[in-house]
Amino acid sequence: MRNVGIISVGYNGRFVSKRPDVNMPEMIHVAVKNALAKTKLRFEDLDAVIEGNMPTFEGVNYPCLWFSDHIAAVGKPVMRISTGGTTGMSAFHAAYYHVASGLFDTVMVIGWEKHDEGDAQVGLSGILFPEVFTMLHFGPEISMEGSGITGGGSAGGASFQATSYLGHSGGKPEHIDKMAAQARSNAALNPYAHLQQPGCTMEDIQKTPMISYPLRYGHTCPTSCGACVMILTTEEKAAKLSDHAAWVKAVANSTTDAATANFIDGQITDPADQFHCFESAKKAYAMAGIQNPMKEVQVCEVYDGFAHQELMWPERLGLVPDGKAPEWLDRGQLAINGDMPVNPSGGVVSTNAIGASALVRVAEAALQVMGLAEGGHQVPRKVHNAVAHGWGGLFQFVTITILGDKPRKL
Amino acid sequence: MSQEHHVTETLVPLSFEYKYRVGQALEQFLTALGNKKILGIRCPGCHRVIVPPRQICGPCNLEMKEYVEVGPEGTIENYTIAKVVIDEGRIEDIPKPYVVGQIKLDGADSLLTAKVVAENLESVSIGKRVRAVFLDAPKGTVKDLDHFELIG
Amino acid sequence: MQRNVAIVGYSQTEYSPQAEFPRERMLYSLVKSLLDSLGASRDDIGTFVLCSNDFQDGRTISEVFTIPWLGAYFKDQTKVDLDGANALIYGLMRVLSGNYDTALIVGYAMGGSEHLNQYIQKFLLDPLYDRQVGLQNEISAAALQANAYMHKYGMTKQQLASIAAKNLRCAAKNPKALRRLPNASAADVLNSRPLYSPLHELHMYPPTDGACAILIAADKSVEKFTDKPVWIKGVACCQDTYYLGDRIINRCASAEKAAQKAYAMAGITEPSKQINLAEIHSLFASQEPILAEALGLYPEGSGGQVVDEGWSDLEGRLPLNPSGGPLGANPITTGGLIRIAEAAAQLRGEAGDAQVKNAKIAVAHGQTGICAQHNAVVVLAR
Repeated sequence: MRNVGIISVGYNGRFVSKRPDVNMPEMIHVAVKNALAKTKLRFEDLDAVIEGNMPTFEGVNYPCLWFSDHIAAVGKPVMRISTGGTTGMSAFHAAYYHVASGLFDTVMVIGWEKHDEGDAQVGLSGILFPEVFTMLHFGPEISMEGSGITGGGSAGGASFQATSYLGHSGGKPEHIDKMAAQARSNAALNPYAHLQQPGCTMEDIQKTPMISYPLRYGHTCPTSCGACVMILTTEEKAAKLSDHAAWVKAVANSTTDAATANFIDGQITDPADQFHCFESAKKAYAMAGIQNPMKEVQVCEVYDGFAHQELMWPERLGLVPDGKAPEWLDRGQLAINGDMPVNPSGGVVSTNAIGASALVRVAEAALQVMGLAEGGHQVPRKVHNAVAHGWGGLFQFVTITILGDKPRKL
Repeated sequence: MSQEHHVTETLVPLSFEYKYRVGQALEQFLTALGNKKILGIRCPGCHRVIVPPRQICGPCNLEMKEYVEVGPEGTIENYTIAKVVIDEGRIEDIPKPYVVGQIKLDGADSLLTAKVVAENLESVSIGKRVRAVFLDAPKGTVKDLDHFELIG
Repeated sequence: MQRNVAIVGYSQTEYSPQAEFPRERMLYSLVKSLLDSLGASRDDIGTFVLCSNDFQDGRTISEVFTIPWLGAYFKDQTKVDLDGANALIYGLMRVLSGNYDTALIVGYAMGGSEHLNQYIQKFLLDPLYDRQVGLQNEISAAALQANAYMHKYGMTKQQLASIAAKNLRCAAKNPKALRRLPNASAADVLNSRPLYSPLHELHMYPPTDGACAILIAADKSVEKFTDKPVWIKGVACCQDTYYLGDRIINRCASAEKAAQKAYAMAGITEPSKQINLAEIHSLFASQEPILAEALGLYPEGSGGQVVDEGWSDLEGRLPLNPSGGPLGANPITTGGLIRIAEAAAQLRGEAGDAQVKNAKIAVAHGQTGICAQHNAVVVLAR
């Protein structure tokens, strides 16, 4: 058993829609350089590199191979992880296990995406098209698949999820508008976020067109270009290599069946249920030694591809009482200076370079623990425990990481 | 009497187009090709000259900025004779074999993969000298460097 | 290593150019048969480490529909997107951490029936240069590598063909292999379809559908499953630069480095003497001597002599690919995991007609990328 700490977080710069001036490896190299520069680590002492993205978005298979020179990986052990939306956090977990296993001491993890290299719908459509074509051959109605395909394959399902969530929680569509406005305002306090909209209001969001009730364009994530890099190391080396550390207190993951299969077969009827998230959160809290999450966790970064998820996930993670997130939002409890700040970074709904997004949740949680969040999005209270959450696949993968200001008692 | 018909296969055409950002190093290379010049880049650490240029020298983990003109002549260091061509994944026989060579351009340390055109394939061998042949009307792509021909 | 971890079970599908069943059913049968053979259930699996590839499946997040079929419903699972040997190494890390006692590693690809291998292999090339120039592909690069080795060390076309023939004859003894030619000769190989000189079709792996699953367990958990554990003694991986023109391709530096690390972990100081057999993920017969030498099994440049003297044969000094290796069957992406399973079978005395005598210590290897740019090495012992 070994403790693992994050000693640095690097971005390549602000996440943006397009980067025509650089190619993929050049973009990522900046983030690698930034993360390394914040430590005293020499190139020779980097023990391994872990990389992840969703490869069909850029049309390059096993990109870690092509990027070898640009990601300090020549002559090094390299691992590549790819699990859809959770990729960034799955890659983080792989990096954690590299060190926790005792086989490596200091490793670097990279999550990235460069959406401007291809059609934004390319990667997501790649999940559904094979299924859709098959179904068309057999004759099911196109409208069911049609609603699944809009918005790149997930807006359709997400709208079912949003409706269900509102029904259970008693929240209203206005709460989703309000949540999105808060997210974009938070993003304005994060120099690296993509959609920075200072002073964004509910009315601003309500002016955006509907995609699929109750979801509007203003509720959905952008497609962003950018990279996030972190360095992880052992307890022994952390103090020598950096002045800051955020300690990994728990990692957890769970999966259910793919959603579209179930919408059609009818096995999972409520995409807002996500009970495997609640189950794996319990395991994570147990591993972290947290008995009362609502009291012991000071901030969370959840994977909100759609704004309603910023209300839903904290409940499923046991950080906000079931069904109470809309109320807490109204009372300001989810704000940066609230009782349970949710996504002070602006979340995925403000920045979504898919391969990076779940990693950014950990990075932002780490910055909060280390007190290093820039631009005004650092939560005012001292952070002892932070929860980072990732979500992906077809509504099925959940990853959770809990970080703390002290190493876990082993 | 009805017959059972089992569907076992369905064809799914998946075709996506990508439009890539060429990046800074390759942009320099392509511009030079249009002017019938070949650029390499030198690493400040190991001093090797790499073709085509890229931003980082992997073994040294250093940024490279010094562009160096190399060639247009060089030496065949290695080659293979292609008896097939790969077209959209299909391996297809071709009537006329051609040479894929690894060329060490004068002044460069890394090898460039390129076509070597020769009247008689038997005259191609390791150590032979070659010269770059460019397209008369450049199109701004890597194919502006069309092939290498044997010298002498 | 901080725990003792062993392979306690493995299973492979029969490899074929077209699997009898769709992927999901194939995976279900694979995992079920493994668990049944061990008297175990999915409750005994702590974590899943999968290995598959989006481009090969033609599907983003390739594993999404396989979850319930694998028994991974409600379980902790993840996916390695490199050769399958790396999935085993990651599974090992998860168990070594102490967070889990068991891990199931499953790799698959439908490289025979679902897509054209060379269409997919194109996607691992740099899109800005190599794909634009259009001369470099998996086969032409391997041909250049073959020529580089032959030019430096004087190995002949006849010897190269003999290496391929040796693999094909061994594959004939492997009931899982898809390409089984019991009387394969160098002449057969040279008479097969020419590709890029000196390579012919029979020098190269065949398009294959198939899957492989390996269950590992730690410490006290091992005896729950088997009394013939195969201990994982050393693991390592290493990656070279991508650019072919910047690599010395008559040898494999990244495989050498990975092997040195894995051997050090395993306490192996003289691999050519201490290793009893090797399962090498050589996608082309020409890669076998290069990788065997990188793994320290035979002297530098000895490829011609090794095959002529019969040292790499089943009854030879140090058999290489007694299973027939990738030339017998290779669902791309899973190749290294299969090599590990075959090595484990040898150490458990379960290799049937292809059994190497006195097999106690084995090395298995997996590669990813053009000309083995990324290599993973696993040392196993009974």
